[in-house]
Formats: sequence, structure tokens, C-alpha cells
Amino acid sequence: MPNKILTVIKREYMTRVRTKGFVASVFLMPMLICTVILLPSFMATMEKKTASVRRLVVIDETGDIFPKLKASVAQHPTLQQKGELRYQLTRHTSDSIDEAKSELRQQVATGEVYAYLAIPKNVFQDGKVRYYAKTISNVDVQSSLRRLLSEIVRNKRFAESGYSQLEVKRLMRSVTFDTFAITGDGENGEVQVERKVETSFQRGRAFLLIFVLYLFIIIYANSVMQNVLEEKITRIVEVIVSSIKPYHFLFGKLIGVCAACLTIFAVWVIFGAVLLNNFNLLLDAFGIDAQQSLLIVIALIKASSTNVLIYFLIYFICGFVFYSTLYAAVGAICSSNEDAQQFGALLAILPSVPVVLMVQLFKMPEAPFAIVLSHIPFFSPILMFMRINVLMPPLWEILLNILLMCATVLLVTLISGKIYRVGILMYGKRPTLGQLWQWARY
Amino acid sequence: MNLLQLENVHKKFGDFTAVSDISFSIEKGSVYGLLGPNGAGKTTTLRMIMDIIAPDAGSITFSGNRQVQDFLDQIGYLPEERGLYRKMKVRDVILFIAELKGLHKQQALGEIEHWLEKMQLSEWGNKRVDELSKGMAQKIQFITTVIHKPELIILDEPFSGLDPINMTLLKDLMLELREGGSTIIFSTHVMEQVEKLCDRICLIHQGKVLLEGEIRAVKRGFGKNSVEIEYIGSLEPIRNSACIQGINDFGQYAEIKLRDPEDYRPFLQELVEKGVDVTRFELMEPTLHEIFVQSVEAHGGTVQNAE
Repeated sequence: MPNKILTVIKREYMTRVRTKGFVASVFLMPMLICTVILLPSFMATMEKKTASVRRLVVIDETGDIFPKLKASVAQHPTLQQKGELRYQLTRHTSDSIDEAKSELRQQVATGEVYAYLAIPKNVFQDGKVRYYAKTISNVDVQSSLRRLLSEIVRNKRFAESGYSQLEVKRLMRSVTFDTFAITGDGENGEVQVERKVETSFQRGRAFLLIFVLYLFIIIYANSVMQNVLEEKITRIVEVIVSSIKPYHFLFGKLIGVCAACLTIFAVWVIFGAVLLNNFNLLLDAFGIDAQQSLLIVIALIKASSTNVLIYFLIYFICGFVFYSTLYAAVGAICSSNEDAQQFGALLAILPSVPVVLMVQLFKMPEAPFAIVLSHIPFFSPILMFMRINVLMPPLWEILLNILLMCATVLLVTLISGKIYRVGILMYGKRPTLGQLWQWARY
Repeated sequence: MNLLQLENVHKKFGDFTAVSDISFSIEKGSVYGLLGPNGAGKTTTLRMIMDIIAPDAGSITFSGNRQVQDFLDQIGYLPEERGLYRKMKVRDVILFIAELKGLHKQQALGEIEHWLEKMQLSEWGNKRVDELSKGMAQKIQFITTVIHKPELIILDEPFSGLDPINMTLLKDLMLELREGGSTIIFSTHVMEQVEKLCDRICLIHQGKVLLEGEIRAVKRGFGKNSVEIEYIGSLEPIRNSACIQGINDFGQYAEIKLRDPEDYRPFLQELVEKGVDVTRFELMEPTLHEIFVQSVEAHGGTVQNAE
């Protein structure tokens, strides 16, 4: 008998692995993630490289600001690259905004001038400067210029008022907030303190992993349903159940599909590990200067992902088996695609509940509501995994949860298996709930 | 020795009695025909033999008093509704089912080539199932039924949907398989094939057995109530004879159905007395088709679909 189960596993696995969709999810997803991670750094690098000198014209009605601004711009890291001035400031010959504006607007329109700044006489009083350019989405440049100008204007005000600039700065210092998370799971049960960067990193990782977990459970459980239905509609199932016990067949099918999913994850993890360990090589190869935040995230992933991955696998397998047996039963009950899709959509509501509530639950992972929900088997895979990600529950709770999951999976497999056994060979009218109950006890 | 034995098998679907008190046994190495009009309970019977549905009462046992679950690998089953995995390649799908039947891969691969060649489908082996014509898919399905050299081959309506050439091919294959020692049970309402193929038949109608036995015995038991005559002149003088139930006149030749098998003596006498110039007079065995139609009609049914 085990040989036959192996045959079924092999078929299920091979037919899935050979599809275009599978190849796509194996390769596209990591590429997508890579792109998302690297794109900001990459774009920044590209922009710096392609930049030519951009002319910034300043109309300075005060006559005071321009020299100071030019000096600060020359030293500002955003506005210059490798000693080469990217933004070149020139002062307009006329110091009247009204006189200069029509000529400058023309020049900006033709691209001769990148942007011009209109600094009015009363800038020290009302602090308003106008920035004119074709592209006004270049927020980096604008805010750098704004900060430099503010500094100059402020200094001037200090000088006029007689206060010492340093003194005022010291008096006006605002309070900063450093956020720490305290957890009880350090070595030897010591209290551990984590920086905020780490918790927000955890949150991001949790979102991503829960998304993948949910998506894969739904997609592959659905594919089990479609598959069962296909076997029923094409009647090949009659040949199959006259060769192998329906339970064994269903068992083999689930293992085969699950193995296909795990293959995808394995490829991703290996890919991820190779990537992380050779990250600098990659950056060099593309000539990308990594942003500081990116390096921190990578260090964090390296340091803390093994445990999370193990939990991910446990909850994926539990969730997958749980939902795909339910879906298999649905496929067996239905006799047409339309029917099955309706039921499938209804069933998909269950794992969606925690995803919908996720943002709320993130804010209060310790709320009794969240804890109770996370032990209901329908929600367990996603919700418990979320809790593990956000605020590690005590180990006994995790073990209890896994035990509960396993028990439910066993029960559901037994009942669904029986419904599957009977339903797969029944055609025509959909059974009533009463009939389903009878089948389950068959 | 009996390979398969059904005893007092009953099956109800709700209030509808699909099979009522069916018993028969199949001798090893024989070809057994399960006949009956549509809806007679043939498919239900075969499905119960395969344990796809469970009988309400009665027993179904295989050689040596074994249950079907211990005998599965020795059975090849062709269901009434055909189907294969549509997206799989032909060779893969045959291999899958062969392995499910317990064949080892190497062994199966050899058999697949042998059978594809035999069915003249070798060049289709790497095509996907949904690229095949209906007839080709049927042949592939037949291969999957017999590839593991089963002792018992169960075919539900094997001839339906086949053209005359493929029907002959299938008939020859079935005989070949019997020569090779297989036992075959098949259901059909195509009587022509049954006469050529079967050793024994079972005629069921509305879930009940009307006739069962060796094909010659069944015919004999039914009696020779048909007469074929060749004549010169006219049949007018005897047309209203009390012995005749029906007459099919072709001019110089006629098939005459008698009211009673024993009527042939008075009928012959009448022919001579009325001066019909008869050149040939022969008692005919009834065809299975006639037996089928008569039996069913005698039990209040009508045959709508007896091609």
C-alpha cells in the first residue's frame, strides 16, 4: 500500500511543479522582494550617477542671503556628488523678482535652468521663499534647500535680536523618544530589551510572512479542491478508488501538494540565505550604495529569522492540512465548478478573519480577545503565528496551541475523509446537511 | 472454479430499488455478459462489485472467498463514464494508473509501449490527453484497464461510442485476453457483440434477473419459435393461419414468428395442405435481440434503445 501512496504523492507533486504558475512563484517572488528592497538604494545611486550639473538661479531681493546659501550648498551631501557640484547656484543679474521672473520662467520651461528661487525682501519677517521648477516632486532637493535657507534666515534674526544663537538652541532643545521593547525571553530567563528598530522590523516581517502564509494556504487548498472536483467530474476517481483506498489517496494527494509548497519555500529560503550572505557582492555588482537602514534590516534578518521560519513551517503545515481537507470535502460534495467556487469562497472567509483583524490585533496582541481567537483552530495558523511575531507568547501556550491544532486536524481529516469517500462517487443533487452528517458517520 | 460470486444482492437508492435480489457467478476464464435496457441496474451492479457503492444486503466474493479490497490489484475496471487527467501526457497517465495497480515502473513502461503500438497510438504517447479524439481516449482508457494483466476485467458499456472498426478491434482484444486466461464481465445493450463473445449472459430488467445462464441454453430454453421459409408463388393462402404471430415477407423468402414453438408441425402441415410451394423450411433459434426484446416486453417494459 505505501507504494501506491508514493505513486499518488509523486503525481500530485510533479503535475504541480511542472506548471508555469509554480515556476513563476518560485522565481518571481524573490525577484519581486529583491526589487522592493534594493530599488530605493538603486534609484538613488542611479540618480547620482546620471546627474549632470543643474543650474539653480536665485533672485535675492535681500542681497544678503545668496553668498551664504552658495557656500552651504557647496558642502551639502545631497546637493553634491563626489566633489562635483550637482546643483550650481547662480545669482540673477536683477535683484527684483518682478523683473526677472518672466525671463527665468522661460529658461525653466526650456530646461536651461533647473529651478529658480525667489527670495523676497521681507523673508526675514514672514519667512516665505518661492521655488519654481518643472519637476516639483524632487522633495529631497527642496527640503535640503529649505533647511539651508532657514538656517541662514534664522542666523540673521538672531544677529538682529542680540540673542546668542547657541544659547537659544540649547534652550529650545526638544525631547526625543527612544522606544524599547522588554521581553522575558533572554538567556537564563533574563529580561531582554530591544530597540525600536527591531520591533518595527518584526512588524514588517510579520506582515509579509502572514501574507505569504495566508495566500499559500488559500491558493493551494483551493487547488486541492479543484483537483478533487476534476477527478470527480472526469470520473477518473472511479478508476482510482478501484485501485487504492480513498483515504490513502487523499493522504497522498495532500502530502504531494504540501511538498510542492514546501519546495517553493525551500527555494526562497536558500535563495534568501545566499543573498544575505553575499549581499555586499550583489551591491558591488550593481554598483549600488546601500542605504544605512537597509544594512540594519539585513543584519536583523540574519540574526533573528531561524526561529520564525520554524514556526512558519509548523503553522503552514497545520493550516494547509486543516484547510485543504476541508476544501477536499467541499470538492467532493460539489458536482460543478460553479458550486465549488461558491462554497470555496464561503470557506475562504474563515482564514480571512484574522487577516482582516490583523491591524487591530497588532496593536493589542495581549488582549483576551486576541488570545481566545488565536486558539480557535480555524484562526490558529495565522493568528498564533502573528502573536509569535509581535509578542512572543509563553512556550506552554504555543505548545498547547500546536497540540490543539493537531487534534483538530486529525478530527477534520477523519470527518472530511469520510465525506470525501462518499461524496466523490455521488453525482447530481448537492447533499443536505443531514446527509452530510450521515456520510460523516458512514 | 468461480472467480466472482454474487448472492442475493440488493440495493436501494431512497425509495428506488436499483437492484433486487441479484445472484450469479462467473467461472474463471469465461466471458460474461450483463444485459439489460437502460436503467436496468447494470452499472449499479458493477459498481457494487467494485465496492464503489455498498450493497444494502447480499454478498459479493472473489475467488477463494476474498473481499474486493484484497483483490483490487487483480481487477481491471472500465467505468461507464470515461475520464482521464486531461492535462497529463498519455504515457504519464497510463503509468500512473499502472503503478496504482501495483505494477513496477520498469515493467509498466514496457507494457505501455507494447499496448500503444498495439492500439496504433505510439506517436500519441507524448501528447496531452485533451488533445486526443474521443475514440483515442477510449482506447487509452482501455489500456489503463488491462495493463496490469488483471485476472478479472470489468467493462461497463465498453462498446458505447466506438465506430465499427474500433468495435471489432475491441472485440478481438477481449477474445485475446480471454485466451490469455483473463475473465471478463461486461455490460451492454448491443446484442450482436454479446452473441459473438459471451459464454454466459445475465439479462436484468428493473433490477431483477430475467434470464441467466449459458448463452446456448438460454436460447434453447427460449424455444425455436421462428421459421424461415423459401417459396415459389404466393404466401396468401396461409397469411391468416392461427399459428402465425407475425410475418416478415420478402417475396421469395419469409421470416415467420409462431405463436408457440410447438406450432411448427401444424404450420408445416398447413403449408402443404394450402398448396404453398415451399423449397426450404427451417426452424430458427431466436436471436438474442429477440430474446431481449421479448423478455423485457413480457415484464411490462419497453425497449427504447436496443440498437
